[in-house]
Order: sequence, then C-alpha cells, then structure tokens
Amino acid sequence: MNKSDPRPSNPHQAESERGNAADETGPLPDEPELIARSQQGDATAFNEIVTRYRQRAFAMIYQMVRHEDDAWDLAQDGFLKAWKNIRHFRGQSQFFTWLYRILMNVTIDWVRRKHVQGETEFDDSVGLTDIEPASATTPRAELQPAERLGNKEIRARIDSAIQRLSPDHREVIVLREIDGLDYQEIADRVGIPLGSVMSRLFYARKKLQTLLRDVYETL
Amino acid sequence: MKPSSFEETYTLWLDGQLNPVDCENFERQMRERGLDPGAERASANRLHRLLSENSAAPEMKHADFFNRQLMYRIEQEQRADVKTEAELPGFWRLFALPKIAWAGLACLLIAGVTYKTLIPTHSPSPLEQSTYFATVVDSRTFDPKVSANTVYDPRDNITVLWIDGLDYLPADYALQ
Repeated sequence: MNKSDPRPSNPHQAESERGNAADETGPLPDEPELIARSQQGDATAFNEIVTRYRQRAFAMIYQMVRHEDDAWDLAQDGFLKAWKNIRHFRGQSQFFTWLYRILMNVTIDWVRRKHVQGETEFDDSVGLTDIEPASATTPRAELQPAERLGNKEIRARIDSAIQRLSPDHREVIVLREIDGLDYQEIADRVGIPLGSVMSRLFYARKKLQTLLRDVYETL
Repeated sequence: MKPSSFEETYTLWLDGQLNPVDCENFERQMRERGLDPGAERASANRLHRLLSENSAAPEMKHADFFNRQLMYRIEQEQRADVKTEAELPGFWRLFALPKIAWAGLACLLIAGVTYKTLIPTHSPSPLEQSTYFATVVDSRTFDPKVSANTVYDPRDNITVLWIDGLDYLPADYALQ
C-alpha cells in the first residue's frame, strides 16, 4: 500500500505541532533517562515528561470529548494512571504510543460512561445499518448568504456531530482527518487491523457527511 | 494490501491509495451502482477541509497548574502507599492484599457456608427416620455360633427376636 497521503496536510495540525514544539514533540535524547528515573519513583522526572507531552495529550483528548474542562480533567487522570503504571513500560514501543493508549483508554471509558448515563447518544450503531456502503452523497443546492453559518456555529456543529460518533469511530476519524496519521499508524496506535481502520473510517465519514453536509456546502 | 470489502476499497480510493488500474475498476464499479465518483470525492474532500480547518484544539489553560495538581495527586498516592505499608507490619500486611484477592476469599467463605447449611451431607439411619424401628440389643460378637432371627406373629401382631449362642444377655438388651 502506498502510505503517502495525497491530500493537503492540515494547517492547524501543523501549526499546533509547531506550537507544541517548545515543550512536547517526539522523544528527546534524555527521555529514556527520565522514564528510567520515573520508574524508580522519581516524580520530578515524571513531571518533566508531563511538561513535554501535556499539550499533545490535552489536544488529543479534546478532539475526542470536544470540551476543554473535561479534556483537562481527563488528561490529569490519564497522566496519573501512566504514573501508576510506568513500571510496566518496557520500551517495546515509543513512550508516546504507550502513553497514548493509556490516555485514550481513560477517555473512551469516560465517553462510554457518559453514554450509559444518557448524556450523549451515539448514532453509529444506527448508521451501520442505515448507511448503505454505496450511498451517494448528493450535493445540495447553494444556500443564501443569510443561511451561512458563523465560525462559532460551525465549530458547535462539528463538535455535536463528532460527539454523535461512537468512541471507536471518533478515534479513527480524529487520527486520520485531524491528526493526519496514515492507516498503519492509526492501526498501531489503536491496536486494530488495517481493514478495521478503513472500515471504521468509511462509516465515520459517511456519518459525518450526513450530519455536516449542510455546513460544508455553505462554505 | 488487498481490500476485502466495498468499505475498505472506498476508503483506499478516497485517500488516493489505489493503483491506477484498481482505481479505474473501482470507479467503474461505482458508476454501475449509480454513484458519481467525482461528487463522492468532492463531498469527502469538503468534509476533510471543514474538519481540518475547524478542529484545532485550543491551548491547554493553566498548564503549570496542571503539573502542580498532578504532582500533588502523585504525592497523595505515594503517601497513601507508604502509610499502608508502614501501618501494616508483619502479619497484618496480609490485609493489604488487592481487592480481588479479598473478593475471592469472601466468595470461598460464602460458598463454604452455603454448602454446610443448605446441602445435606448426613444421611440419617432408618432408626432415626422411622418410629417403627428400635434398638432391642446393641451387641457385637465375633463368635460364628451366635445368630439372631425374628419371627412375626400376625395373630398377636408381635415380632419375636430369637438369639442363639449368647452366653449371657447384655445389660441394655431391652427397650427402655
């Protein structure tokens, strides 16, 4: 498979990565040492790791929950869990990949709990049966300027649409469309086969097209 | 990788990851299904643009406080761990077992009590069960000459116990 992505890269993602570069990008030379010290119970070393990854973790969780305060709290819980389990990190994967799984598990558990408590309603269980794999995405007629949406409203619509996806679909669509990862990277991060990545992407995109068509057709 | 379903092929096609021949075949397949590949791609691209241009995560607020708060929570955790270990020396450390071990022990205990109370294990003898049985003579001997027989007399409705070979009758030979 050709892993190169012909689509234009996400300018916001690039900007975000540049913005984070000061304190949290890829593994730095002293990262193994910080990890080793953390594994021996040195909280100061772990604090440095947190500083390095906190923005990236926060952004990632934010894309899943679409709420700043919740993302902040979940990042706290995720890092605390990582601290408790850092002794189990064996260096078989990159540290961030390991950290990502912990953060994402905490987030997905929270999203599912919220769903069980009836605060959100996922639509993709319906979508799987409602959306025909070959369903056409028919363009709509051009809207009048009065019907055009403001930026704030657009973001609210996107937040709402993403919140209506199940955590599994939400995770792959964020990793692909917003973070710009390729299929193999998504499969490695999420821990699922490539075929599942593509299938989840298909349904998540179709669902979002259904929910957001009127938004992107006015732009 | 060879996609195995329409969904997988569609995703590869949309992301430009099919080779030209497969791409052409898939687009023909789409047209046969009444889909317009151009419109499909345009719609997906617009969705991609909408998401990527409007989904930038905000900067984390109070980032330093984030670390302080986390360090405080870690300190609390460490203190709680140390306290547990210090307060429970020797034998009592046993009680610092994980919750799952305690749950297992509790289950075993409940199972044991249930078994003892609800499932009968002692089978009563016929003597205990019936009012028509009674011990007349409680005696054991290894002498092969000793034998016991019963004779029932329906006229008088009595049963006679006949014992041969005993030199003497045991003291508790009779019913009280």
